[in-house]
Amino acid sequence: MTITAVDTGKPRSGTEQRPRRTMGDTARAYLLNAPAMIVIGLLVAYPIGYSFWLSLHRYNLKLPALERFVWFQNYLSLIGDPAFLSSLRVTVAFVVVVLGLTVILGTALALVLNETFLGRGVLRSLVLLPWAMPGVVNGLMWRTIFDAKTGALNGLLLQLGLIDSYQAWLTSPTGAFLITAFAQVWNTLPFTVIILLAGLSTIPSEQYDAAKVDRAGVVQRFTQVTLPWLLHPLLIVLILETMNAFRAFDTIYVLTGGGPGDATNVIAVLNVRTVLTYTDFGLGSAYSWVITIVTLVISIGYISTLYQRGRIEV
Amino acid sequence: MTKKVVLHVLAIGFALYLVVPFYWIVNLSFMHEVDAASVPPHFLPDNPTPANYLGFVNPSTDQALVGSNAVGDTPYALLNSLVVAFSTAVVNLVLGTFAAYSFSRIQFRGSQLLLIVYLLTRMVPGIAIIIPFYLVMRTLDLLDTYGALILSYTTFALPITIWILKDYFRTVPRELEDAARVDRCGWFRMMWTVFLPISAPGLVAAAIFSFMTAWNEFMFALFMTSSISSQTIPVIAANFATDLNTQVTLMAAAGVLAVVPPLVLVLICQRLIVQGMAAGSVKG
Amino acid sequence: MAEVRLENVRKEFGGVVAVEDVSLTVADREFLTLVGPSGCGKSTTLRMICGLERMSAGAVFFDDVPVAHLPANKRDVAMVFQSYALYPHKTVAQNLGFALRNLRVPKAEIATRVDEVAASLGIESLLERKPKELSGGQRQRVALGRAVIRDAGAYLLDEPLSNLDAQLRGSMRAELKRLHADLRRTFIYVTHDQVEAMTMSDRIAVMKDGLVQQCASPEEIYARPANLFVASFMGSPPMNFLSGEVQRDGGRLLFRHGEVTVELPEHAGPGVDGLSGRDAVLGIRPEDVRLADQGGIPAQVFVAELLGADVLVTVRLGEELVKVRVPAPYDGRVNEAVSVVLAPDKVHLFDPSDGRAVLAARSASVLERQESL
Repeated sequence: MTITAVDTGKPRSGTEQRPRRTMGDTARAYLLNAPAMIVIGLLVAYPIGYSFWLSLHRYNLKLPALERFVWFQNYLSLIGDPAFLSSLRVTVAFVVVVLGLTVILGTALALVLNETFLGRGVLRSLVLLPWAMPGVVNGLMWRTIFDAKTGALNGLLLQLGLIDSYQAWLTSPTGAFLITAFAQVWNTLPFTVIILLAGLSTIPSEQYDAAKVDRAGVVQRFTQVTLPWLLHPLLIVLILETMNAFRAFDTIYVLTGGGPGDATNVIAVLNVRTVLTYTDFGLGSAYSWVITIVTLVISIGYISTLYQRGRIEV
Repeated sequence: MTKKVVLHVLAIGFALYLVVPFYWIVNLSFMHEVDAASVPPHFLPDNPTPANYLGFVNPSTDQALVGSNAVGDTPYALLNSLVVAFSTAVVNLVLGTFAAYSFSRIQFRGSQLLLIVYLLTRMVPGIAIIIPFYLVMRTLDLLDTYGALILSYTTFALPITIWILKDYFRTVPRELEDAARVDRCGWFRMMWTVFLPISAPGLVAAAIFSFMTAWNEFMFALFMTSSISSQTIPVIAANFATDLNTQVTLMAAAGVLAVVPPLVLVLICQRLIVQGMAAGSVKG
Repeated sequence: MAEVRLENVRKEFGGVVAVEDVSLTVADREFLTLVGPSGCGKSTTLRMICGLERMSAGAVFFDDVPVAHLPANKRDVAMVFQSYALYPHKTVAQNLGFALRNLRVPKAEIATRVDEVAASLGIESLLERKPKELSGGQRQRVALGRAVIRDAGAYLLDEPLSNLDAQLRGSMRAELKRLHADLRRTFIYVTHDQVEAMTMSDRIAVMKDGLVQQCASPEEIYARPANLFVASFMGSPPMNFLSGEVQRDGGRLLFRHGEVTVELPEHAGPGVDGLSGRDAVLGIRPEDVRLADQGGIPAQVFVAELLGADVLVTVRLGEELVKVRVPAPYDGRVNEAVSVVLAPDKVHLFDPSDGRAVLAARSASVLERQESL
């Protein structure tokens, strides 16, 4: 039924002439990825492998004579290691508190910023302030605020008549723990808000109009329109903030140094101390592998949730 | 009506939450050390002085002693931080652009896997790789140089950079690329004159993220640097903190200085950041 | 200045065939239109000519020089995109001059040419604006200007008018045709709109399922469609079709559709003979059907639509609806009995097994009185 329109009498010439072989798409893609792959391969993949190798050794810089391959002994010794177990407890509590506060405050703040009101631009700019603060400076800042002798909090509460005398907030284990968590939340909140705000900005306004036409109230609009759209960004926030909280170090290091006692001695602090102060590279590497695996398992859990909902596209 | 009231109350509450802690160290930074230690505290500097800031340029004898010369080091540390953070952002954009372009435009075998591998490298905490990383840097003779820091921060920021850029690149219409090809551009010229200018919001968002990663990082800076030739501001700020005889006003001033450059940067670019992120990274 | 020749061009996207086998020659300075429904492969064919899409097989020649190995930026082509694809970060002047800059034309000359082209398209006042500050019609002109500023061998236009409103589209059709006449260059135009194809082209290639169904002048395509698809796709309102059977009755060839019998004209010849005793599809254009008070095939008015100078009357003929184009005014009422007369010379006959035309209308024939049995 086809009438192929070869409307010239010219002989077919040149069809034998093969087009020059061009690079396949896959080859081109890997060529484009080569620089990133080299950097990440050399500086992350190789060190990861090497650190795993180290974690199978007894290897202390100060005791080079004792160096030897010990299989999983470092890991096994963790099970009975009170410092490790207590720091694991502290870390889990820390992650849960930080994550909970971040999600609640971050969602509330993002929702407020998504409304229109006088001064919204100012608040939007203010949100970025904690993000611009290095963790170390964040630690310094909260230390001056919670200081037992000269702190702003003590002064404020005393002037308001809420306390009778200055309190040493950072010397009580519970106080120190809550304060570090609070300081950590303050520092990481902007990142959460930016992601959630970007997520909110992608909700088509027609959806709200449609919901209004369908007589949905404020609460229904939130649960039926806003929340479903926020789930994906919230899961991203959960992944990133879980990772951040597990490796929280800067703020705690400066604010409490892990103390008092072991109250804020999260695993990252313990790990750095083991490596830097005790130069026990073997045990230190085992610690870091535990952190890695725990974060990995949790992240895979989150990611598979995302995939199941069919809402992620890599 | 009630909604408006609730909204404003929340907004004011959040504003105070965000600003008051920072205000406190700004306040301290303009005080004399004596006032800072007074009970009750001064919530406004009675007797404001720029001495703490001037000290960074020309420290007095007692200022110079604080935190093992942290005061004198602060200007250099700020400069180091700027150089490292800026270079990290640039290196990230270059490497990230190539990789992200491949993910956004080419369908290739293993693309999903590769992207996940990139992200998985972010799951590994820095401490886990710091020892081998240190050894690699020693082999490359990069210890205590900008190079070591730029390379480490690049590995931290690259996966996120690629992620942000690939999503933004996907929003650039393919027909624009086609038009540029027809308008006689080779690939590199097309990227430079058409594709990248259009992707500016994504590039800015990614650049800011890498800059902030580098500016804020402490642990690697602590391990990889040993002198003021490469020590960044978090390292010097920590020196204030670990000195028991530190001057709290000087420490506050250094803290404020450490916040200003990134703050200025994000304030200038804040519109682009949200726009760049909204392109897809967070979309359902 | 170029003749563009495609030989057995084929394109697959991961196993899906977009263009099956296309061979075409576009003469130098010709205006050729590729027309067809969406997914017929017309745009892919154009993109392969342009070099934006690699061919899976076949060859493309510009003036007998093979160009298959050249990417788009090395081919002597200019293109207008459906979405216009204006560079959002460049001003109109920069958009227009971009290709010339890449071709390393001196700055002063670029400026002159930009002014010339802007003047000829009536967009001089917009030169410093950015695309987002322009209306749809203005963007369209800039997109056109970006192509015609080039001194290219072939100008490729991919549905350039489809994003315009109806009125603007009409005027731009005329402008484009005039532009082609002035430039005297090879134009290859892709559209799904058969009106655009009919009004502008020197020749039309009708495509479907990755194959060229017919390539001929608009008159030819309209008068003698090569198959059922071309007949149904080209022409507005579309051709009427009746399914039935061809029978030989003594010396006459008859087409029967239920109660309706049509005597086929004498020029029906040997092609139709083969269909004798078999199913066939009769086609006739609405303007080749007449309404009479009596003496034709009995039918009822179904609906009448005023088109302006003409009225399009749909009549029920047995089980089928047939469209008839009559001059206005027409005052027939719904369900009124009428008589339908088909112009015998204008009858098309198709073989339903492969859709091929076995009988085409004789273009210059007088409407004769139809004998009905």
